[in-house]
Amino acid sequence: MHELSLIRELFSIMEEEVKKHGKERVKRIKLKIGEFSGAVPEYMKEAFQFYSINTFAEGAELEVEIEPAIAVCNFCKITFRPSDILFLCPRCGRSGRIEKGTELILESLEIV
Amino acid sequence: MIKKMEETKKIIVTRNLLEANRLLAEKVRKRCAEEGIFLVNLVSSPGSGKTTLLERIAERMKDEKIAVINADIETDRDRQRIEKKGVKAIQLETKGECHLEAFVIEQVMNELYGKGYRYVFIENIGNLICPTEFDIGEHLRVLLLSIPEGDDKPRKYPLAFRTSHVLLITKIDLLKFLQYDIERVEKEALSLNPEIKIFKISSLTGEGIDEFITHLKNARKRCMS
Repeated sequence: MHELSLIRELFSIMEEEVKKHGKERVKRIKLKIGEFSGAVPEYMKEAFQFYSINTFAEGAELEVEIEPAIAVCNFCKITFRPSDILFLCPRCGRSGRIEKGTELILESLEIV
Repeated sequence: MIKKMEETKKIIVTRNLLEANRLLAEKVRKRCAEEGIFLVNLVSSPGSGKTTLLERIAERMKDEKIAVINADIETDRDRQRIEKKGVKAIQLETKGECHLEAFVIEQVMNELYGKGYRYVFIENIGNLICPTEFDIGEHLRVLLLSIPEGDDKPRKYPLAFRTSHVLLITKIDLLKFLQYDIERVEKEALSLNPEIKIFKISSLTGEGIDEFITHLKNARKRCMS
Protein backbone atom coordinates (compact mmCIF):
# COMPACT_ATOMS: atom_id res chain seq x y z
CA MET A 1 0.00 0.00 0.00
CA HIS A 2 2.53 2.60 -0.99
CA GLU A 3 -0.34 4.49 -2.67
CA LEU A 4 -0.89 6.26 0.65
CA SER A 5 2.66 7.66 0.49
CA LEU A 6 1.96 8.93 -3.02
CA ILE A 7 -1.25 10.59 -1.85
CA ARG A 8 0.64 12.21 1.04
CA GLU A 9 3.06 13.64 -1.52
CA LEU A 10 0.14 14.76 -3.71
CA PHE A 11 -1.25 16.69 -0.74
CA SER A 12 2.02 18.42 -0.04
CA ILE A 13 2.28 19.56 -3.69
CA MET A 14 -1.39 20.64 -3.75
CA GLU A 15 -0.99 22.62 -0.55
CA GLU A 16 1.92 24.54 -2.09
CA GLU A 17 0.00 25.22 -5.30
CA VAL A 18 -3.19 26.36 -3.52
CA LYS A 19 -1.21 28.77 -1.34
CA LYS A 20 0.81 30.05 -4.28
CA HIS A 21 -2.41 30.99 -6.11
CA GLY A 22 -4.09 32.50 -3.05
CA LYS A 23 -6.94 30.01 -3.07
CA GLU A 24 -8.47 27.79 -0.41
CA ARG A 25 -9.92 24.62 -1.78
CA VAL A 26 -9.28 22.01 -4.44
CA LYS A 27 -12.29 20.95 -6.50
CA ARG A 28 -10.75 18.76 -9.16
CA ILE A 29 -7.47 16.93 -9.57
CA LYS A 30 -6.05 15.35 -12.67
CA LEU A 31 -3.35 12.72 -12.28
CA LYS A 32 -1.49 11.00 -15.05
CA ILE A 33 -0.34 7.53 -14.03
CA GLY A 34 1.88 5.37 -16.18
CA GLU A 35 0.54 1.95 -17.08
CA PHE A 36 3.55 0.40 -15.29
CA SER A 37 4.03 2.97 -12.53
CA GLY A 38 3.24 0.40 -9.86
CA ALA A 39 0.35 2.50 -8.53
CA VAL A 40 -3.16 1.08 -8.80
CA PRO A 41 -5.74 3.75 -9.76
CA GLU A 42 -8.48 2.24 -7.57
CA TYR A 43 -6.17 2.21 -4.55
CA MET A 44 -5.09 5.76 -5.32
CA LYS A 45 -8.72 6.83 -5.26
CA GLU A 46 -9.41 5.00 -2.02
CA ALA A 47 -6.30 6.39 -0.38
CA PHE A 48 -7.26 9.86 -1.58
CA GLN A 49 -10.78 9.59 -0.11
CA PHE A 50 -9.40 8.49 3.22
CA TYR A 51 -6.65 11.12 3.31
CA SER A 52 -8.82 14.03 2.20
CA ILE A 53 -11.33 13.91 5.08
CA ASN A 54 -11.40 17.29 6.85
CA THR A 55 -8.88 18.80 4.48
CA PHE A 56 -8.93 21.49 1.79
CA ALA A 57 -9.49 18.76 -0.80
CA GLU A 58 -12.38 16.91 0.81
CA GLY A 59 -14.99 16.09 -1.82
CA ALA A 60 -12.70 16.94 -4.72
CA GLU A 61 -13.00 14.89 -7.87
CA LEU A 62 -9.91 12.83 -8.62
CA GLU A 63 -9.46 12.00 -12.26
CA VAL A 64 -6.82 9.42 -13.15
CA GLU A 65 -5.60 9.16 -16.69
CA ILE A 66 -3.53 6.12 -17.61
CA GLU A 67 -0.47 6.84 -19.71
CA PRO A 68 0.16 3.88 -22.05
CA ALA A 69 3.61 2.35 -21.89
CA ILE A 70 6.22 2.52 -24.61
CA ALA A 71 9.36 0.39 -24.55
CA VAL A 72 12.55 0.21 -26.61
CA CYS A 73 14.35 -3.06 -27.28
CA ASN A 74 17.86 -3.14 -25.74
CA PHE A 75 19.11 -5.14 -28.70
CA CYS A 76 17.33 -4.28 -31.94
CA LYS A 77 16.32 -0.80 -30.72
CA ILE A 78 12.76 -0.86 -32.06
CA THR A 79 10.02 0.96 -30.16
CA PHE A 80 7.00 -1.09 -29.15
CA ARG A 81 3.93 -1.23 -26.92
CA PRO A 82 4.80 -3.79 -24.23
CA SER A 83 2.06 -6.32 -23.53
CA ASP A 84 3.18 -6.94 -19.96
CA ILE A 85 5.76 -5.80 -17.46
CA LEU A 86 8.47 -8.03 -18.91
CA PHE A 87 8.90 -5.60 -21.86
CA LEU A 88 9.85 -8.40 -24.24
CA CYS A 89 10.63 -7.23 -27.76
CA PRO A 90 8.03 -8.47 -30.27
CA ARG A 91 10.73 -8.86 -32.91
CA CYS A 92 13.65 -10.58 -31.16
CA GLY A 93 11.96 -11.68 -27.91
CA ARG A 94 14.69 -10.20 -25.77
CA SER A 95 14.43 -7.64 -23.00
CA GLY A 96 13.51 -4.02 -23.60
CA ARG A 97 13.55 -0.99 -21.35
CA ILE A 98 10.63 1.24 -20.61
CA GLU A 99 10.66 4.73 -22.12
CA LYS A 100 7.23 5.90 -21.08
CA GLY A 101 4.63 4.53 -18.70
CA THR A 102 6.16 4.74 -15.21
CA GLU A 103 5.25 8.34 -14.47
CA LEU A 104 3.13 9.57 -11.56
CA ILE A 105 2.27 13.14 -12.48
CA LEU A 106 -0.04 15.71 -11.00
CA GLU A 107 -1.18 17.33 -14.26
CA SER A 108 -3.63 20.00 -13.20
CA LEU A 109 -5.85 21.31 -10.44
CA GLU A 110 -9.06 23.25 -10.28
CA ILE A 111 -8.98 25.47 -7.24
CA VAL A 112 -11.40 27.93 -5.69
CA MET B 1 -32.24 28.86 -6.12
CA ILE B 2 -29.35 31.24 -5.90
CA LYS B 3 -26.00 29.60 -5.85
CA LYS B 4 -22.99 31.48 -4.71
CA MET B 5 -20.65 31.72 -7.63
CA GLU B 6 -17.13 30.75 -6.82
CA GLU B 7 -14.40 31.61 -9.21
CA THR B 8 -12.76 28.37 -10.25
CA LYS B 9 -9.25 28.54 -11.52
CA LYS B 10 -7.61 25.77 -13.46
CA ILE B 11 -3.88 25.51 -13.05
CA ILE B 12 -1.45 23.29 -14.89
CA VAL B 13 0.96 21.77 -12.41
CA THR B 14 2.86 18.89 -14.10
CA ARG B 15 4.82 17.74 -11.07
CA ASN B 16 5.98 14.22 -10.33
CA LEU B 17 4.67 12.72 -7.10
CA LEU B 18 8.03 11.07 -6.50
CA GLU B 19 10.01 14.24 -7.24
CA ALA B 20 10.53 15.20 -3.59
CA ASN B 21 11.72 11.68 -2.74
CA ARG B 22 14.07 11.62 -5.72
CA LEU B 23 15.66 14.96 -4.84
CA LEU B 24 16.18 13.90 -1.22
CA ALA B 25 17.63 10.57 -2.38
CA GLU B 26 20.13 12.43 -4.61
CA LYS B 27 21.09 14.62 -1.67
CA VAL B 28 21.69 11.60 0.59
CA ARG B 29 23.72 9.83 -2.14
CA LYS B 30 25.93 12.86 -2.70
CA ARG B 31 26.50 13.56 0.99
CA CYS B 32 27.37 9.91 1.68
CA ALA B 33 29.90 9.89 -1.16
CA GLU B 34 31.48 13.06 0.22
CA GLU B 35 31.73 11.41 3.64
CA GLY B 36 33.29 8.28 2.13
CA ILE B 37 30.21 6.23 3.03
CA PHE B 38 29.11 3.55 0.58
CA LEU B 39 25.37 3.15 1.10
CA VAL B 40 23.89 -0.28 0.44
CA ASN B 41 20.15 -1.00 0.39
CA LEU B 42 19.20 -4.63 1.05
CA VAL B 43 15.73 -5.53 -0.23
CA SER B 44 13.93 -8.87 -0.11
CA SER B 45 10.97 -10.80 1.22
CA PRO B 46 10.80 -11.44 4.97
CA GLY B 47 12.98 -14.36 6.02
CA SER B 48 15.30 -14.42 3.01
CA GLY B 49 18.37 -13.93 5.19
CA LYS B 50 19.18 -10.19 5.26
CA THR B 51 20.09 -10.07 8.95
CA THR B 52 22.07 -13.31 8.88
CA LEU B 53 24.02 -12.06 5.87
CA LEU B 54 24.78 -8.84 7.77
CA GLU B 55 26.08 -10.90 10.70
CA ARG B 56 28.48 -12.67 8.32
CA ILE B 57 29.51 -9.34 6.79
CA ALA B 58 30.13 -7.93 10.28
CA GLU B 59 32.43 -10.89 11.05
CA ARG B 60 34.32 -10.67 7.78
CA MET B 61 34.67 -6.91 7.45
CA LYS B 62 36.17 -6.23 10.89
CA ASP B 63 38.90 -4.13 9.27
CA GLU B 64 36.30 -1.79 7.73
CA LYS B 65 34.19 0.62 9.74
CA ILE B 66 30.59 -0.36 9.06
CA ALA B 67 27.15 0.49 10.44
CA VAL B 68 23.73 -1.03 9.92
CA ILE B 69 20.27 0.50 9.80
CA ASN B 70 17.59 -2.14 10.46
CA ALA B 71 14.04 -1.34 9.42
CA ASP B 72 11.10 -3.36 10.64
CA ILE B 73 7.46 -2.72 11.29
CA GLU B 74 7.92 -3.77 14.93
CA THR B 75 10.66 -4.84 17.40
CA ASP B 76 14.40 -4.20 17.68
CA ARG B 77 15.36 -7.85 17.37
CA ASP B 78 17.55 -7.24 14.33
CA ARG B 79 19.48 -4.41 15.98
CA GLN B 80 20.26 -6.67 18.93
CA ARG B 81 21.61 -9.36 16.62
CA ILE B 82 23.89 -6.92 14.80
CA GLU B 83 25.14 -5.23 17.98
CA LYS B 84 26.22 -8.62 19.33
CA LYS B 85 28.72 -8.63 16.47
CA GLY B 86 30.21 -5.38 17.75
CA VAL B 87 28.77 -3.27 14.94
CA LYS B 88 26.90 0.00 15.32
CA ALA B 89 23.22 -0.63 14.53
CA ILE B 90 20.21 1.65 14.47
CA GLN B 91 16.71 0.21 14.54
CA LEU B 92 13.88 1.94 12.71
CA GLU B 93 10.41 0.80 13.69
CA THR B 94 8.05 1.98 11.00
CA LYS B 95 4.83 0.99 12.81
CA GLY B 96 3.02 -0.28 9.76
CA GLU B 97 4.74 1.58 6.93
CA CYS B 98 5.64 -1.03 4.31
CA HIS B 99 8.77 0.63 2.90
CA LEU B 100 11.47 3.21 3.60
CA GLU B 101 11.63 6.60 1.90
CA ALA B 102 14.52 8.99 1.40
CA PHE B 103 13.38 11.44 4.09
CA VAL B 104 13.70 8.73 6.76
CA ILE B 105 17.25 7.89 5.66
CA GLU B 106 18.18 11.57 5.46
CA GLN B 107 17.23 11.97 9.13
CA VAL B 108 18.83 8.81 10.43
CA MET B 109 22.10 9.35 8.52
CA ASN B 110 22.73 12.46 10.63
CA GLU B 111 23.68 10.06 13.42
CA LEU B 112 26.32 8.44 11.22
CA TYR B 113 27.95 11.31 9.35
CA GLY B 114 31.37 12.50 10.43
CA LYS B 115 32.32 9.31 12.25
CA GLY B 116 34.47 7.65 9.63
CA TYR B 117 32.03 4.96 8.52
CA ARG B 118 32.96 3.43 5.17
CA TYR B 119 29.91 1.25 4.61
CA VAL B 120 26.34 1.69 5.83
CA PHE B 121 23.96 -1.19 5.16
CA ILE B 122 20.25 -0.48 5.19
CA GLU B 123 18.13 -3.52 5.88
CA ASN B 124 14.89 -2.47 4.23
CA ILE B 125 11.52 -3.77 5.35
CA GLY B 126 10.89 -7.35 4.23
CA ASN B 127 8.64 -6.82 1.22
CA LEU B 128 9.43 -7.42 -2.43
CA ILE B 129 7.08 -4.75 -3.78
CA CYS B 130 6.92 -1.31 -2.15
CA PRO B 131 10.60 -0.87 -1.14
CA THR B 132 11.60 -1.32 -4.78
CA GLU B 133 9.55 1.74 -5.79
CA PHE B 134 11.53 4.14 -3.61
CA ASP B 135 15.07 5.37 -4.16
CA ILE B 136 16.45 6.02 -0.66
CA GLY B 137 19.79 7.42 -1.78
CA GLU B 138 21.69 4.14 -1.92
CA HIS B 139 24.75 3.59 -4.09
CA LEU B 140 24.02 -0.10 -4.44
CA ARG B 141 20.74 -1.98 -4.30
CA VAL B 142 21.13 -5.61 -3.37
CA LEU B 143 18.21 -7.98 -3.82
CA LEU B 144 18.13 -11.23 -1.85
CA LEU B 145 16.08 -14.19 -3.05
CA SER B 146 16.27 -17.34 -0.95
CA ILE B 147 15.99 -20.86 -2.33
CA PRO B 148 12.82 -21.75 -0.31
CA GLU B 149 10.96 -18.84 -1.93
CA GLY B 150 10.83 -20.75 -5.20
CA ASP B 151 12.36 -20.40 -8.64
CA ASP B 152 9.41 -18.58 -10.23
CA LYS B 153 9.91 -15.22 -8.55
CA PRO B 154 11.78 -12.96 -11.01
CA ARG B 155 8.85 -12.56 -13.38
CA LYS B 156 6.39 -12.18 -10.51
CA TYR B 157 8.30 -9.25 -9.02
CA PRO B 158 9.96 -7.68 -12.07
CA LEU B 159 10.57 -4.24 -10.57
CA ALA B 160 12.68 -5.72 -7.76
CA PHE B 161 14.95 -7.34 -10.35
CA ARG B 162 14.99 -4.36 -12.70
CA THR B 163 16.00 -1.84 -10.06
CA SER B 164 18.69 -3.89 -8.28
CA HIS B 165 22.40 -3.94 -9.07
CA VAL B 166 23.09 -7.26 -7.38
CA LEU B 167 21.05 -10.42 -6.91
CA LEU B 168 22.06 -12.73 -4.08
CA ILE B 169 20.52 -16.18 -4.32
CA THR B 170 20.66 -17.07 -0.62
CA LYS B 171 20.44 -20.30 1.41
CA ILE B 172 22.17 -22.08 -1.46
CA ASP B 173 22.95 -24.91 1.01
CA LEU B 174 19.25 -25.90 0.78
CA LEU B 175 19.47 -26.50 -2.95
CA LYS B 176 20.09 -30.23 -2.48
CA PHE B 177 16.84 -30.65 -0.51
CA LEU B 178 14.44 -28.79 -2.79
CA GLN B 179 13.27 -28.90 -6.36
CA TYR B 180 14.71 -25.67 -7.64
CA ASP B 181 15.81 -24.65 -11.10
CA ILE B 182 18.59 -22.17 -10.39
CA GLU B 183 19.35 -21.65 -14.08
CA ARG B 184 15.77 -20.53 -14.61
CA VAL B 185 16.15 -17.88 -11.90
CA GLU B 186 19.42 -16.61 -13.36
CA LYS B 187 18.04 -16.54 -16.88
CA GLU B 188 14.82 -14.76 -15.92
CA ALA B 189 16.66 -12.27 -13.72
CA LEU B 190 19.06 -11.44 -16.56
CA SER B 191 16.20 -11.13 -19.04
CA LEU B 192 14.66 -8.47 -16.79
CA ASN B 193 17.96 -6.76 -16.06
CA PRO B 194 20.96 -7.68 -18.25
CA GLU B 195 23.27 -5.67 -15.93
CA ILE B 196 22.40 -7.48 -12.69
CA LYS B 197 25.35 -9.23 -11.00
CA ILE B 198 24.41 -12.60 -9.50
CA PHE B 199 26.04 -14.34 -6.53
CA LYS B 200 25.00 -17.63 -4.97
CA ILE B 201 25.59 -17.56 -1.25
CA SER B 202 25.02 -19.40 2.00
CA SER B 203 25.33 -17.57 5.29
CA LEU B 204 25.39 -20.98 6.98
CA THR B 205 28.34 -22.51 5.11
CA GLY B 206 29.92 -19.22 4.05
CA GLU B 207 29.78 -20.10 0.34
CA GLY B 208 29.94 -17.03 -1.90
CA ILE B 209 30.17 -14.46 0.91
CA ASP B 210 33.78 -13.49 0.26
CA GLU B 211 33.07 -13.05 -3.46
CA PHE B 212 30.19 -10.74 -2.61
CA ILE B 213 32.33 -8.74 -0.17
CA THR B 214 35.02 -8.33 -2.85
CA HIS B 215 32.31 -7.03 -5.18
CA LEU B 216 31.18 -4.56 -2.49
CA LYS B 217 34.71 -3.27 -2.00
CA ASN B 218 35.25 -2.82 -5.74
CA ALA B 219 31.90 -1.09 -6.11
CA ARG B 220 32.83 1.28 -3.26
CA LYS B 221 36.15 2.05 -4.92
CA ARG B 222 34.43 2.83 -8.23
CA CYS B 223 31.85 4.98 -6.46
CA MET B 224 34.43 7.04 -4.56
CA SER B 225 36.79 7.62 -7.50
